[in-house]
Amino acid sequence: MRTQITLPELGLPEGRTVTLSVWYARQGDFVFEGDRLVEVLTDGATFDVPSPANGVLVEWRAYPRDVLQPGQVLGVVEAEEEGTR
Amino acid sequence: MFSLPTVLPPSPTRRLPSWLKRRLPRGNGNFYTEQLLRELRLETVCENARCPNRPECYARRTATFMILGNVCTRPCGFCSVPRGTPEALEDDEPQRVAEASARLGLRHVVITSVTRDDLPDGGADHFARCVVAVRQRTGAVVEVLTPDFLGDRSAIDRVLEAAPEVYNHNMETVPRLYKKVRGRASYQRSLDLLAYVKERSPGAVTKSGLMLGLGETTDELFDVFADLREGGCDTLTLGQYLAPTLKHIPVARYVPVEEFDALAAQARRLGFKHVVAGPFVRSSYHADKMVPGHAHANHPA
Repeated sequence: MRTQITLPELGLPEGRTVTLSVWYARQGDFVFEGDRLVEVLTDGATFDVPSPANGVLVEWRAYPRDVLQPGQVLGVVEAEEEGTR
Repeated sequence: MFSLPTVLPPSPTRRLPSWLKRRLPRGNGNFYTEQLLRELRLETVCENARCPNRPECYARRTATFMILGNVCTRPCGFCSVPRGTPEALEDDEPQRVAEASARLGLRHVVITSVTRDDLPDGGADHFARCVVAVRQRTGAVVEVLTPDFLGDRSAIDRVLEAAPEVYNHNMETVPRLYKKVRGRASYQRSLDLLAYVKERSPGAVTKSGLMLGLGETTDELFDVFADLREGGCDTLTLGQYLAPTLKHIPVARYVPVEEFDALAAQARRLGFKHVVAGPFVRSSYHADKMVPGHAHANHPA
């Protein structure tokens, strides 16, 4: 099952810029639920967005320096099926 | 004695140091607080100063009210509040601040303002009315974070008549950097204000704060600590300066957590009763916990 990694609501006022700063995992890496996957930067602080599932990070849909919106899909994890590991 | 080493600020496609990482906010307290403030047409310094703690504080259903409008009469190089010609005071603002404090369930209310050099009393009477309104409505501890009122003691007296439990006035930086950081302010005037408050209201907690990372040296910071203690200042906050936009004074240096700890220890040795220091510390961040005894701490709803 493919699970999207989305940018959560950060509680920022409208109009504040959020930028993708770095991916911690490469496409093809196996990641675990809760692993920090991608770092986003906003006014004077950074946040780590975690993996939503165990599985393979199959796709980046946003890249370093991209300006992001809340709810935007940043990437996709092909989630591991129950009992496959 | 030593000076802090120079570290170049990061490039525009930067990453911030790891100690400036925040947890993702949880829950809907953020939304609740934002809606309430919008409904009551209130300004917060959290919003206007682009505070990095805003999501966390709003989620705790707390905020620092910014009264006297959202346009400032001074052009400070670190601050993102717009400068210009302010509008007339809103007579019902004290009641709206009190209403918001009650609905948020605050037991410790922080009230700050833009600087209003255009008003004869600098807005002191309005400050006092806000303090009284909040106290009458909620019984909360009230902390004020005032401008320097151009050193006008009658204005300071007017605020003190309302007997705020905590009187905060931020020194912001070391005297050498005043012209660049606080263009129209005076280091001595700010020191004198805090000493005067302590002299007139010895029972009130006096408090001040400094931004680090503007190019100050450790020696200069120690001198400011000593000057504040000479005026009896009780509480000190130290936080990392973060440039609100690329048009503001750039960050000269990101100060590591260990240095904040060392500076706080030195400040305590000088006699401050309470010191809070860290990258995300702001003068009103967790202000309820900075009052000795924490008797009036705000709790998330």
